[in-house]
Amino acid sequence: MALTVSSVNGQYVVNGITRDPSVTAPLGRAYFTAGPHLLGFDDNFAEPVIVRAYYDPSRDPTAQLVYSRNAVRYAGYLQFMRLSFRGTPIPPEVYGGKLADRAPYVYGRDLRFLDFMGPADASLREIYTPFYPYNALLTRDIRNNSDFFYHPLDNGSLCSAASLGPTQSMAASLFGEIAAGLVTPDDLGPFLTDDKVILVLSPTPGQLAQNEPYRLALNSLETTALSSAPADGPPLAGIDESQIEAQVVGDSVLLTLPDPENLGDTLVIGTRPGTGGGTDVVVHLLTDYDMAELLYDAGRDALWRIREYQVDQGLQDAMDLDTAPAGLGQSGLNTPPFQFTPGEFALELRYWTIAVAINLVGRRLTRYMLSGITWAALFQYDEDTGLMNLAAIRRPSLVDGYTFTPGIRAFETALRSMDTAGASIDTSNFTKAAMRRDNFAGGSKLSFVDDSGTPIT
Amino acid sequence: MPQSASLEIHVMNVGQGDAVLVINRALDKVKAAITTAKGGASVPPNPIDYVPYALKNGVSLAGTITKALLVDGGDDEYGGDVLNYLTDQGVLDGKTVYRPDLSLVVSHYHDDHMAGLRSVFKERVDPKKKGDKVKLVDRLRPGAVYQAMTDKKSDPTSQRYADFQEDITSAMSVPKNKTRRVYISPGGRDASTKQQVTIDLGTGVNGIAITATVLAAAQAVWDAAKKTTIPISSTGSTVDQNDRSVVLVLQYGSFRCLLGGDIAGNGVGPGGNFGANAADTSSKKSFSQHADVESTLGPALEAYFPKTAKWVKGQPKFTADGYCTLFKANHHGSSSSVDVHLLATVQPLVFVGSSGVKHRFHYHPTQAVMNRVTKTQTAQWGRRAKGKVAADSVKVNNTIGGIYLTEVAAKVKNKAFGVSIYTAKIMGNTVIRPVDETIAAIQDATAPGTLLTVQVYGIGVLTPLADPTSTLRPTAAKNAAPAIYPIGPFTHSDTH
Repeated sequence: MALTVSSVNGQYVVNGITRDPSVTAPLGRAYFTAGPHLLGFDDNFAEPVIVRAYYDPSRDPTAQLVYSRNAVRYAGYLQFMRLSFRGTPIPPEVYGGKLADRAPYVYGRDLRFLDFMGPADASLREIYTPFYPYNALLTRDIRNNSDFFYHPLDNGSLCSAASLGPTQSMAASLFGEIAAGLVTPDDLGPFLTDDKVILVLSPTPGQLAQNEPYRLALNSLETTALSSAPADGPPLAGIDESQIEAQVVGDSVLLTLPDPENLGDTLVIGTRPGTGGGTDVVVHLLTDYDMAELLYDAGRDALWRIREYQVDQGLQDAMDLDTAPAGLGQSGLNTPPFQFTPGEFALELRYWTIAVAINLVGRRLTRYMLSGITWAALFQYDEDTGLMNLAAIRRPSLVDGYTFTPGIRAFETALRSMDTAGASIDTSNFTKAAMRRDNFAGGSKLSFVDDSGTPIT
Repeated sequence: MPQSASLEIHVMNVGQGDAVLVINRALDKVKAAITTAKGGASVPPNPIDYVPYALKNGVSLAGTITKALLVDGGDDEYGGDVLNYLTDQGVLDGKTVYRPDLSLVVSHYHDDHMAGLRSVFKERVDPKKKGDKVKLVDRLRPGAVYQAMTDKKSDPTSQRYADFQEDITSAMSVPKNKTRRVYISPGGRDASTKQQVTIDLGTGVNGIAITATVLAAAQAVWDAAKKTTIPISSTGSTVDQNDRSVVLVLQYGSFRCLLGGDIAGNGVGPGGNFGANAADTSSKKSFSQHADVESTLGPALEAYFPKTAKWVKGQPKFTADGYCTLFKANHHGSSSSVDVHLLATVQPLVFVGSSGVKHRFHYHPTQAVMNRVTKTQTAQWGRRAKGKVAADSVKVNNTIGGIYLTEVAAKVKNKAFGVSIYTAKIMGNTVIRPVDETIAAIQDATAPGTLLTVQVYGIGVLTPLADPTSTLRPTAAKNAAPAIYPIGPFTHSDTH
């Protein structure tokens, strides 16, 4: 049964994802088809954007050939990434932010790296092939590899040619986030002081199972007065939620409230162990000025790191600084060393999303590429605000072939090496992919472009 | 009759931010500089025109400054612009590192006021060879820096604040010609001397003193009537740095200028703002609220600066308690600032606002504030309650003769910014100068009825925006060559 796409309330969903035809799976606000792949994007939250990929083996002649030889045991997605600034690859740690801790997996001259949990976590879980769906092991008690053959799972599923019942996934899938934000949990942490806590909820396990913590907090603030100001009534009564801007940093959801002078407060909603053994939902309040301190140097600092890297690598003549145009507002201590043309996608985060089959005979494991796509997240530096914004997605195209072995070797090396075996990658980059996201329309929405950068309408 | 202007107040165009440069200038030195550079025949007949002529004709103004005071420096991106402006105006000469004639005041520790000041102290050295990192090296040392007393409970945690403090400490740490730091205690008292902080800016015409007095700082206002400080309580659990703004009153004879940083008022009815003058709070869902500093500041201004009881020769004269000739918009014209009640106290002749798009757009100035200050919209201002007299039962006439704005958005991210500014003029850098001869005349007067005249002109340069979906409104009409004033000058007078 082939995958098909339909629209429900303005969001695209995939039909045929399991043997049960009534089951659908989310794609997002927009999607693309490339050969046997569906690639969807969900920008309900301004940061991060969620990407969902589905590989339909029934549409892939390569898969059919492999299946017919009875060689495939199962298949799944591997994902690789590469950052480049104006066409030149840069290491993730130079860019910084959420990608900085990906350094252990960097390989090759063009500085690609695997998109997967950190070496320490992978080693602990004895992972040999870093299929993206395995990231769900960070939060779920999944005991057997075959448990990944079902749908739904937090980070996608593997698919098997065997017949495994009604919830068997008929596609290999990947649910992940475009995790290129420059603000990390370490940056946010110092702002979350006790004096900024405005609300603590102690929900029941049932409430937490049915609602995200941020939803519980919003519901409370919209309907119940704060204990510190009982006479004021519910502080968010009547709020237009569509005007909220949402982002995720680590395990915290940040909701910036609308304000006519763009001075709105930001609620930082997270969880912590409750005193009664459960989980408390904790809401901190950051002012607009706190957020400015948190956000507004991050983009400029990243550009200066890139500049230093370029000089260090001899990629750019040291004196070849972009000449700042004449005019006000371009001459600070932290003014970036580059000038950007309007609409320039200076930074590209390219992805290779590759469906790979596994054949395991005895202890001999063989990996085959089935089919892959490449696509890119494109970032613009906004000189008027100093922010590096995810502005567009370059549509996917099929790749003729992808040599994924060096990437897996880099993964294996990272797990073995004394230098990197204990390294971690922020697990929230993976664990939040399945978070239920209300459609907060504040903030900018993605656009989609073709290979030449022309918007796709 | 020839006119001169020793005191210059430059409200610099730093986009969304504040930077105000106060200069006490020796016009005889400007005349000498013009004579040297262009010949005596080139000297304009009217001394008030010397500086615009020099700027227009490339005559260096270095060495013409008696004293200067820089209040805030805009955001980081404008730091170099502030430096360039100080150099153009002769405050800096590009060579001398220690500038005892220059003092700095940082009103509060938000980036749009503080960050640009870092460029006074430091300059950036870019990486030049493999292994190099960006470095900041020393640039200048002003004579003194005035800042609110540090306080662990209220100091920002930002790296920028820490860096700024380090800049000052570094400038204080040289063996000689070091910067002096003056901490301002709550209410504007010098933390060391316990006296009200008054910055001496020399003298103008006829030896009349030019001073800047701190009336509020660090979440407290000085009450001259009771000789005590009135604390301003935070409305939430965290301190809003705006509430801690250093509030300065600049005085030169009968001319005063109120610089209130980003303090707020009430915004709605209790601040005297009704109907179209009231802040629209219907869509505001914020927990954090700044305190109402203006409601405390108004009575404090009236107590500290009472109206003149007897017209005595040799003294400045004022017809209203708390009067200030020039009022720079508090918090860039935010709807919760510039309350009608404060306007009724200050009764300004000229109102100037610093606003813009870069580095962050905050929809300033707001319509509510433009309505409050514009005569056609608000002909009279209600006064606050006083004794048994109910609030708003007593009205005073709107006294504002001219409204000037540095720059104003037309659209941001393709969204129109529709605030009507009525007859306000967009000027870029805006220069306000009281006319010396009128200052002297009022000082000499023995009866009411003498005019104080203020001249205003604009430089007319706006910030180029990188994003084509954002644009600024055009400036007021510029003069054609060979005019020496880019925009204006405009004059306004009130009676003392």
